[in-house]
Amino acid sequence: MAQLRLNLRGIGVLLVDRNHYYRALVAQMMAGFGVQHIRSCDSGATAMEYMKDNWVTLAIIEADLPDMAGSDLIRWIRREQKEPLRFVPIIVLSGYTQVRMLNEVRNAGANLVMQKPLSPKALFDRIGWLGRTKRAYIEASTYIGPDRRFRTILPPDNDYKRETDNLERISAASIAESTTQ
Amino acid sequence: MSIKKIHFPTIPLQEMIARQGGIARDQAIDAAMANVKSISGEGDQIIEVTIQALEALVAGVHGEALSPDQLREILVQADQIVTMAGTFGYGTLDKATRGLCDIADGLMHAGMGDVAPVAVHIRAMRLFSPFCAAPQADVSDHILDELAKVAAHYNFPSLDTEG
Repeated sequence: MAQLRLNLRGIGVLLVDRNHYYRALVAQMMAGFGVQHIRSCDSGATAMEYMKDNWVTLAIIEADLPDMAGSDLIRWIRREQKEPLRFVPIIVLSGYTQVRMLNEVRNAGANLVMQKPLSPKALFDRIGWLGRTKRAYIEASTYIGPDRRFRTILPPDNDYKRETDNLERISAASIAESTTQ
Repeated sequence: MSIKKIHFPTIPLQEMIARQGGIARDQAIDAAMANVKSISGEGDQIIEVTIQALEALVAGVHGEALSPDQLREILVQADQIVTMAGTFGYGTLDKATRGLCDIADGLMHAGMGDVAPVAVHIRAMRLFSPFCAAPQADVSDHILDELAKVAAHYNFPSLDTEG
């Protein structure tokens, strides 16, 4: 069966991470996927400056930046920016020591959270999921961002779904695990 | 929370990704893997430099207690090594460095500054670093078992279980 294709040419990716090598690593993955426009920033302030004047189609942001929390940058995007940047899909990357920040970034309006280290497969699938799954956005006084209740939302043809979307497989696996204990 | 508006805004990524052409999943992943491999050597260098920075930090303490700022710096550096070790498949280095993160985080939250448990983890990381000859499997297991005893002594929660 022919694989689905994702056309990532022409999209503008903003990559914000304190570690220059990790930025290079993710940029290499994105280049492999066909992305041509990648802007790397090492801090929240430089990312804000860039977004004031530039087009961003996808933002990949580390949970903890040197000058601010990733959640502060996300809140700024969701509250201060005009459409379409206001609703730009945001993937948050979490290091091992940043797991406590994950609730904070979800509540700031992140679309997806991924734990480092990233594999090209996981990154490609998450981008595919973001790009092919309709998800409502909520605008309220205390929250602006994608609907956080999205466990059961799947892409139209079930391709590029997240591992956790396969509820049947997961429940079968957990049953098998519970019976062996 | 009073909801003001629920809607489906136009997301340029969704429109652009569905255009004709593009790249198939296997082809994209293969190309990304090849690109990542092409810069893996630099990753080893960065692990080495980061371990050196941690060694220098601990050596500069001269037996005194680590300050919260120093522990925070250790966490930042160690977090990067965990990421690199995971990316390039250095399993033992990954485990030792996660142990260092757990210890440093636990010390910081407990208001302690013990140097010894930090130093012993960094020494193990040096042994597992990409530029050192890899210890035999049983030796590696023994080192990791000893680090586990240090962790058990302090009994700090693992960051793996947080979040």
